[in-house]
Amino acid sequence: MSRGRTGSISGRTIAILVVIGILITAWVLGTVYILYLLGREEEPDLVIYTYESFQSYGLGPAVIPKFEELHDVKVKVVTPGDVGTVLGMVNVEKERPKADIILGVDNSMLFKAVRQDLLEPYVPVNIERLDPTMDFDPGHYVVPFDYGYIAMICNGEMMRQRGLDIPGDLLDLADEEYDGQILLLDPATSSTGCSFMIWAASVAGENHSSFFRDLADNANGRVLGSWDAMYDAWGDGEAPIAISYGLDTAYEVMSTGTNNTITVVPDHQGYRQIEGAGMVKGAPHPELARKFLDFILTDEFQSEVYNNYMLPVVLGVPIDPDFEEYGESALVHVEPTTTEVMDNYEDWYQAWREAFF
Amino acid sequence: MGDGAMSVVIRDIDLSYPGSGSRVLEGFGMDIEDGEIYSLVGGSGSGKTTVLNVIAGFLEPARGRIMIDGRDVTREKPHRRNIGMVFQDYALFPHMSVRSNIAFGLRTRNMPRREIDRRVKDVLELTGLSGYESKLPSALSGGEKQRVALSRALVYEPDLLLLDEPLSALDASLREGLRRELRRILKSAGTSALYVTHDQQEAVSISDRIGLLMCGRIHEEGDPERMYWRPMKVETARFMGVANILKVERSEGGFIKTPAGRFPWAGNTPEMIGFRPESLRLEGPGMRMSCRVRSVEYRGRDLLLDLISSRAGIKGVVSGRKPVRKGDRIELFLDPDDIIVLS
Amino acid sequence: MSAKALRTAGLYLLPMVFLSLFCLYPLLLMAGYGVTDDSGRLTLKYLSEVLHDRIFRDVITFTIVQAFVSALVTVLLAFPGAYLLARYRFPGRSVIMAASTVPFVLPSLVLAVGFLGIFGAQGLLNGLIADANSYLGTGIPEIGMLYTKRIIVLAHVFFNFPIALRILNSRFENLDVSLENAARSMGSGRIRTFLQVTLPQMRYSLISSFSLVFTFCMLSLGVILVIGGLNHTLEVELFSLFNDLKVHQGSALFIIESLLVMLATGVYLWSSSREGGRSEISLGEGVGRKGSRRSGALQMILISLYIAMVVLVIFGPLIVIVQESLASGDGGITLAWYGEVISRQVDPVLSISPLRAIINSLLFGSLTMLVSVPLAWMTAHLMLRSRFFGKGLLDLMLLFPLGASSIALGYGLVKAYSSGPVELAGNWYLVVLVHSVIAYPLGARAIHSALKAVPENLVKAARSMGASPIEAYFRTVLPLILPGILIAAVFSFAISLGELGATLMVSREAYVTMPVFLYRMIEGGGREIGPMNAFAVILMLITFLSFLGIELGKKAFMRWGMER
Repeated sequence: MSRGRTGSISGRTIAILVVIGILITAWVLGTVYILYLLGREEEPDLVIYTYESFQSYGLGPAVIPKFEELHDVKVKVVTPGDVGTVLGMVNVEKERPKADIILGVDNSMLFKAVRQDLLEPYVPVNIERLDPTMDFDPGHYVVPFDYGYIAMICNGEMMRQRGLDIPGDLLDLADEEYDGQILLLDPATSSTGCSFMIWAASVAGENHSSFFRDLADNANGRVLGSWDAMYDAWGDGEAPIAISYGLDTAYEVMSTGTNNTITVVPDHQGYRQIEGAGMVKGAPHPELARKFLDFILTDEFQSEVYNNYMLPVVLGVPIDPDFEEYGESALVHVEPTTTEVMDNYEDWYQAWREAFF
Repeated sequence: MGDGAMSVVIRDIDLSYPGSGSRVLEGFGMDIEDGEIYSLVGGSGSGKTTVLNVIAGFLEPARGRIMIDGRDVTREKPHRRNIGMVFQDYALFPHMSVRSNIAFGLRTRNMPRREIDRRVKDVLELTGLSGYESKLPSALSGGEKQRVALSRALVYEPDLLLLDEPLSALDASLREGLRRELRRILKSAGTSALYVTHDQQEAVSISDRIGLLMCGRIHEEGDPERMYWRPMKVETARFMGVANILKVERSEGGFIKTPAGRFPWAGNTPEMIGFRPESLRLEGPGMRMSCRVRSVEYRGRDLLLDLISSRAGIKGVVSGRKPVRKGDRIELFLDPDDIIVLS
Repeated sequence: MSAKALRTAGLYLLPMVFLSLFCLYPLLLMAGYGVTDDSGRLTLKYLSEVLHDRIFRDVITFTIVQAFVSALVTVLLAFPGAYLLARYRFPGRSVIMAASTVPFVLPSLVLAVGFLGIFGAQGLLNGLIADANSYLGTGIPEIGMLYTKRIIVLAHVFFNFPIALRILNSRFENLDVSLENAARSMGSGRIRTFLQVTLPQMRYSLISSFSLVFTFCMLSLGVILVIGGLNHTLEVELFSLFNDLKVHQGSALFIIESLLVMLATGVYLWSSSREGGRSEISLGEGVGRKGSRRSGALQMILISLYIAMVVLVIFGPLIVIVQESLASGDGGITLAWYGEVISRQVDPVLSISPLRAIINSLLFGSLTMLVSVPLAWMTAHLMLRSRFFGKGLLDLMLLFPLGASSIALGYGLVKAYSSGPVELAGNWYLVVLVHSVIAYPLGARAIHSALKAVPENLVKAARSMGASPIEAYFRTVLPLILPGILIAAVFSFAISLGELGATLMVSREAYVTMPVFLYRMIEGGGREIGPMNAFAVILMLITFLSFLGIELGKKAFMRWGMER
């Protein structure tokens, strides 16, 4: 009988295939279109990569609009994480940079950016405004925008209760007296910790390895990954002594009205963490990037750095009276130059790791 | 051969599996008459299933021709060959009801719904499955599954039905019943069928003709009776259950001499002779053989004897009523007509 | 070339090209950084530097030890459970089975948040201790589990327990009970039978579950980042080294990590092939169908204890997250945190709004599904073919995404595609690509095992009945592998939703996903407990709902695929 025409696809199968095909196509197109819509944003005129607290503490929201208004431009601020993450991101984008400015590279970290060849040197037109003692970067890779002393902070009440002496010298932290009384920071993950390590290494000089070991003994495992975490732990009374900034007493007075924080910056061992901003090599908007670097040293910017709980790098910019009164500072400074940091960092860090891990 | 029209004509097929290089089929050829049930037998690995796959179009031969109902289908796609297939593992579509399984081949032929319903009903009647329409295969027994598989392959009246050991997954008692049933269905459908099996009993009871596949071609073919009682080649004899195969050592005056003793003989001296175990009887008439019993296997209706006659071991199957014990010396009788000449 | 050969080549090439471009090449690139210096010359400097550094050595040792201990504890805990589930029928069996799927699909960071809630300084446990101390006057010291090695092991056990349970359970169920009965009938005691008959039969399953869990623990990241404190595993160390621009050292460590993982994967493959691939993680089917024996009183007690432990361990962290997401400051219940998460504007620090992260994750998840399922489908068919040129290569390449460091994969992808004609880095499609790379081998396995179960002759039967190849496929094979395809789909979605390591490396601000957003909520300064937990609950809910949806969809599809 019938040798019917076989092999043609039945109507049902075709219908199913068509429906599935339409559904999937609609799905793909819809999803991609939404992503396109979401991704479509005003093309910024300037892109700044910076660390998170630049935005959250309020310095960014204070100065960026000023700059936008000044030049009638749109600035995009991207905060991928801490400064290390920022540098990592710029590094992977090296071939095709998206950022114009890296903001927040301090004197302890600059060498990393320089070594990776991430920055384009630039001397701002108003460079003469910069306090000459802040000019830590002879290569002009970054323009300093604020600074703060790295300090030992002591919980006054706890120090009294435990009968501890207030350390007057950084090297005092090695004393057995402070066994279990110190909170430290991991220099690999915290830029404050990194500054402290360089400070300690600079002060201890040849003996930095043994100093690190003593510190590690006294910290007794209380080494935290971020300044936030450490400050919280210190506030909770985890240990009476911690590593922080010269304005901490001022901060406490201004925010709570109490005065329990004893901030110690030894006069002869000052270490300033100086933060700078630099232009990314191959920046997409070099003109405006230079204008932004010029903007940093103007009063408009410098008068806002207190938002960061830091101090202006331009002399003569008015400082909050509480900062004046409670802020600690030093007479003699021990910060190494960028070249010195570059030459010694790996040794110091190795010694630190050997001591702490 | 027969006088009917040819349903399938296959000539000079060469086929080797890619990579292995060894030929599975070499100069293979066969014919199947219209409405004939042809059993293809052979040991495992002899290529029986390969033949089915070549005829169905799943394997493309390097050389040769396949005609089905006068059409040359050698280069035709499987779904345009109008064949039916029944598999050992049934290959029922587990997500389809019995009705949908059976209607599958009708739907691909774009048959009108009413026609489909009618044919499904008819074939279910033929295979004794009426009332099973909406069951799923998982709810069926093995025998029922195989009936569905058969119905499914018959319903669109294929030019040729290919059956690949369809009963071997069933248990013995079921198998015997289904054998007769299968032959009845195939015959009443009138479809030509190529039936692949390794079981000589099955081949004998189901088919019109049997072919032994060896070394990539048909070694010997013939109707079941002849293949059973009078195979011509040693390999066929061995396969068809001729357990006693003896080499003729010499002939001398009306006798031939074999390791199992002398047999009366007239005519040309053969190379080998053989006889089936069941040709031996405990009583005459016939030629007498004196044997020692090596072992006895009691099989109910009959006894399977392992015997020594002269220098050779032979097998015999005799009625179970007379007691035979291990170590006995007994006399057995063989009708000279039952001796098979082999080459 | 014939159409068939072309089709085969396409089937073969597409997955291979995809894997080569987006998995093999980036990983090799990273490995390359480990053995070349900045000027591109071959050097073993970094490898020897890394191996001679005591701290890196400690990291390597710790990674191995924690993985070993975690895997051991996991297998030891899962073993009795697998036995009970296979041999006894008892109330609560289905609860355990359902519960055991939870950690499978739970993004690791959600668990981390749960652990913070339980073990943190202000967490549940310390709260209970403080209460006990103040009301009962006991002097129990606070527990400081967080940031310890023990908590890492605990978290790993939580995640991998169900995998081990499933592998061992399915082996127990396939075990030939007659062997045990034979031994018992020959006078062997219960314990002796177990030790000499049952246990030896389980040995390859034990090895394969152990080695699989070991591999997963070697590569885990999210939990350790959040609750591991200073205990760095290789994966965490890679993360900080790459972030710290120490690409060469990182890559050298990556090479060492890969060798270790390869070793463990090799053991897994060997042992699972020895037991006939039965321990392939059966993602789809629920385990435990048999359960024959009724249980006596003693067994009931043991079983109850076991259920209680499993339920507590699995649901504890989840309950804590939900509770904290609903807790208002004054001890009441509030939905305010959810409202805040949903309505919060673009966070100046996190660059995008939480809602946008949710939308991103949903979009990426569905796109990942659409990329990876067709690839998985093709690959499953490839895997089915017994032999073809390059089959070994394909099998190997399919293992890479499972056994590769997600950090190195992400970083390698960014490195590989931040220049060149098509710029992928920083774009959303890189996120989709990396998720697809990671998800699709699992999907291929799921579809492959569905495909393996389809009788070979079905297509032949359909073809002989007059169906063209396409129609035969769509009407016979497809309905039968649909569950496998749906499993592949939901796993792609879930993996995309939960992936952290590679996404951390490749996603940029506007395309941040939920886990990355959650990670930064946890790690950023001023951690807000309420919104963080609310966000974790949302992530958890989306994952569960997608599974539920697929489960319902599967049933609907199955009915639809049926032809009566």
